[in-house]
Amino acid sequence: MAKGLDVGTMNIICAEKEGDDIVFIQQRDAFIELEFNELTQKMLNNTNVLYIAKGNVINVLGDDALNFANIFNKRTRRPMRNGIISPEEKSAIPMVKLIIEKVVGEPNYQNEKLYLSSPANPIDSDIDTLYHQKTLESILRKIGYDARTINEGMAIIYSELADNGFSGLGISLGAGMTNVALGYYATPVLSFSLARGGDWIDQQTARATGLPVERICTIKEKNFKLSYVTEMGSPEGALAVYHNNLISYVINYLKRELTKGITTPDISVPVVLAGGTAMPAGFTDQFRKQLHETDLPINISRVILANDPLFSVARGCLIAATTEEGTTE
Amino acid sequence: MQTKKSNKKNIANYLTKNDKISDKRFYFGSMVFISGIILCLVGLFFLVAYKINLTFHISNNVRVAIAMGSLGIGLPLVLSGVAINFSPKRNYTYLTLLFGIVLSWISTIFGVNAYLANKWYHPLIGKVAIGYGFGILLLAGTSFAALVMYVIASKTTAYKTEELIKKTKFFEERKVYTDEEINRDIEEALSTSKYTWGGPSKIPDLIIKSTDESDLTLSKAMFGRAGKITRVSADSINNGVKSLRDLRSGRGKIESSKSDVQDLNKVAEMLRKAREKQEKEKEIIKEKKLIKEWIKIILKKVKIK
Repeated sequence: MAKGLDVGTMNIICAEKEGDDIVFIQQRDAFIELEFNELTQKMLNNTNVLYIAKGNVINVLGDDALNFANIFNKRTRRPMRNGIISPEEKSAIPMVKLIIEKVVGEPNYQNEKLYLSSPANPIDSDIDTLYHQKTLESILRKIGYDARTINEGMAIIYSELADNGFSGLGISLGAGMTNVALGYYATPVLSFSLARGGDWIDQQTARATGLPVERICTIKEKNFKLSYVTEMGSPEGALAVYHNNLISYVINYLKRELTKGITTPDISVPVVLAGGTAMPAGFTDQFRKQLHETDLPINISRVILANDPLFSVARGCLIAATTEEGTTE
Repeated sequence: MQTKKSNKKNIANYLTKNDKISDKRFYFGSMVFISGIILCLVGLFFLVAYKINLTFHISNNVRVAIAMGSLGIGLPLVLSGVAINFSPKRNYTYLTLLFGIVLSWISTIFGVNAYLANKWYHPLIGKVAIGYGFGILLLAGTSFAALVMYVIASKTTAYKTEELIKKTKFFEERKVYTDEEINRDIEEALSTSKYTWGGPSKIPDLIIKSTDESDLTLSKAMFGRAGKITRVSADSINNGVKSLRDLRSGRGKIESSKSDVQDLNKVAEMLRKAREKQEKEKEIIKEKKLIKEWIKIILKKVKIK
């Protein structure tokens, strides 16, 4: 047995095999602080909500935090920001630890293999991902796992490009970051990340339209379609503009990195898009269109959306962990 | 041992040649300084004796003259001693010192003479004061400059010495390693590192200390796993794992899919077409050049006519 873990800015997802199935367990990477009183505690106990109480404070975790945020009209706190543990959130590490524990559970045996995703260092900001990576590894080791890290973009390649000899471009468009990896027969040729993702789109749209970020997030996740024919002043129009802007941003940086003189395989490679930000209808078409209009130093054979864009990274981690487990057995 | 000794010698030579003050100059400077101090003390003694009317066999006039002469000659000597000890070996320093001493001493002699001859009044006294003032100013300026230069030089020397020691150490400790030693080092380093999916990594692991969680109250839902559950078929994962295992272990051949082969054919076809296109473009350029040359020749002929 082995497990794969995608620690994202928005969701923490664990993947594991259970008989003939893969089971994904998912929790929101968020929490909300409520004031402690007995009535609240009784209510939370009755509704089977994930919470911890310490002193005068109750912290509601995961998906429940989002529900409570809507009820109390409060903002959720996020332990992760721009793809890494948020340095601005003092409770970030304990909260991430609790959510991870809920998602991965106890290991089936001591030192069970677990691969977790980690972003590459972003090229458009001075964020370093090493501390984030090491902290998560240590949290998982503490639980009893033999935790290793895998690049998020490579995880997508493992997940989606087995029929292509694990060669191609894996692009993970998450909430906090965009991760790009070019793999050739499962070997990373190029990997980088950009500190822009779904959160950036939400923030820009919220600023442009004057609506709260939570509202924008709900619109985006429910029924948003990337289209440029919208009502005047609607948030959908702004969302389309910023999705398009993110696509251009990613492609421009991809071109820049590919033209830096790296040796790229002389074959046509497929591009796989994954992550919550790539999910709106029309996103892949728009990406394909812009990519074909760009003069890249590699040939692109096709641009596809991962089968389960939200679970692709966790699945790739599970493949890596299962492969590693088999090798060491 | 010998190497270390020779290194020390090198450093000592280096310092002596460039920055170290020679012993002779140091003793000479010190002597000048001490003489100046003694003369100043003598001068002060006579001044105090004059002030408190100490009984002496020397008249008051002479007492004042001796005090003036001793202080007038002693003060330039004190300043010169400082300058000689700390100034770098430069001709203009000595020249300035000499000029300052001569100016102040001559002024002192004139002053003492004037005092003894009872000519201690304007305009002679003004001239003496100006001469003496200039002399002392020159000497004080030179001494101050010498001290500043000395401080700067000592800092540079300390830095140079450190650098020199570092360089010497580097060459001393450099060792030629054999291929076997290098391979052994690489193996040692890799044996203590993890092989990750992106290369070996040897960054120490963080260890989280256990925290006291006795004051925490956990909800019932916090016991066991919790989250939104999604189930999908594991068929695709099994294929992925098998391919990846084969690829990593090298047991299975690297299977490229049909699409790969088709892509390669496509690229080859594209390259062939691109070359054909380039060839055609080259021919067109050649033709254009020929036409241009013909036009030039025709135009020249027309002009000549």
